[in-house]
Amino acid sequence: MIKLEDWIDYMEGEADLKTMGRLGLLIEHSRADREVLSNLMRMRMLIEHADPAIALEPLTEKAGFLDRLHDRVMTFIEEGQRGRGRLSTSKSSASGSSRSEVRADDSKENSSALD
Amino acid sequence: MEADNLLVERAKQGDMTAFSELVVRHQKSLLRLAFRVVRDLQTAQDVVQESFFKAHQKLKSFEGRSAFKSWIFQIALNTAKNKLRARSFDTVDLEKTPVSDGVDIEEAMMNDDLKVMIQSEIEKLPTKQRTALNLRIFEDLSFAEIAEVMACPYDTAKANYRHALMKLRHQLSESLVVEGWHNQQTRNLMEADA
Repeated sequence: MIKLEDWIDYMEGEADLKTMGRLGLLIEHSRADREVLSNLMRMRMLIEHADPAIALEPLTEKAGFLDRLHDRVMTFIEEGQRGRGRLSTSKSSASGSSRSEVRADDSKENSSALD
Repeated sequence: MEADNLLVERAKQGDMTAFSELVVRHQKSLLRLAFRVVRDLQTAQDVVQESFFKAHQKLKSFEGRSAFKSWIFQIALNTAKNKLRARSFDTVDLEKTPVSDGVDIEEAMMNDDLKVMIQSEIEKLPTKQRTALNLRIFEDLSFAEIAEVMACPYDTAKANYRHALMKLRHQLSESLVVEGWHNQQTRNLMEADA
């Protein structure tokens, strides 16, 4: 019985050579195993297409959007370099709406990306 | 194209053009990453801005043991999580997200209910598993890069991803919608093989 972890590693190209060979043979000769892999790949694709950030694509493809974001970032940094104590986070924003403020020295963050 | 680490070295010497190029290269990925966490465009843009600001401030202490991309991703993830703590996002407002004028074929294949259900199941995953899944599937990072972003060993990054996928498979396979979709796709594949 092949463990699901092995199929996942196979799909991701992370299985070792021995496992790759063993699973490759199974795929060649067993319809059931082909279906296991096929369903796993299908599920991965479903997840990929459920990415909420896909909704951003039309916006980021729009002319000027990323340029404005870039300008906003660079302006913020340059203002920080000039030693301003408090900086508005809404400079050059796409919407121009006023938003939260952040202290220039507010770099408090976790040492790890994990909770 | 000049490598990130060379741009970082130039930026460390005060070359703002070099840092500007790093922003150009990574802002889009960072915006997507932040949006997945905060689910609000304005806040996601704030996260991008603050992340680059923090990166610029700390650039001198960045020794290049990891890739700049991994480092800035880690900063953005932490910044986004801090935003979430500061503001209460009880629900995901999908109405706020921009809608495409064009029709994407792959998108059209997916039922909106199914998409919402998958997103909901992803939200239920433990943070580490969700992060590994996001970085692998949505950002196409290698497990080595994921390990850097998550500040964990390679095998842990891989294990988190596997667990996430297995959990989702279990949850989603219980849904008739997904099963129906899978079966249809399997039938299509078999017909194509025949």
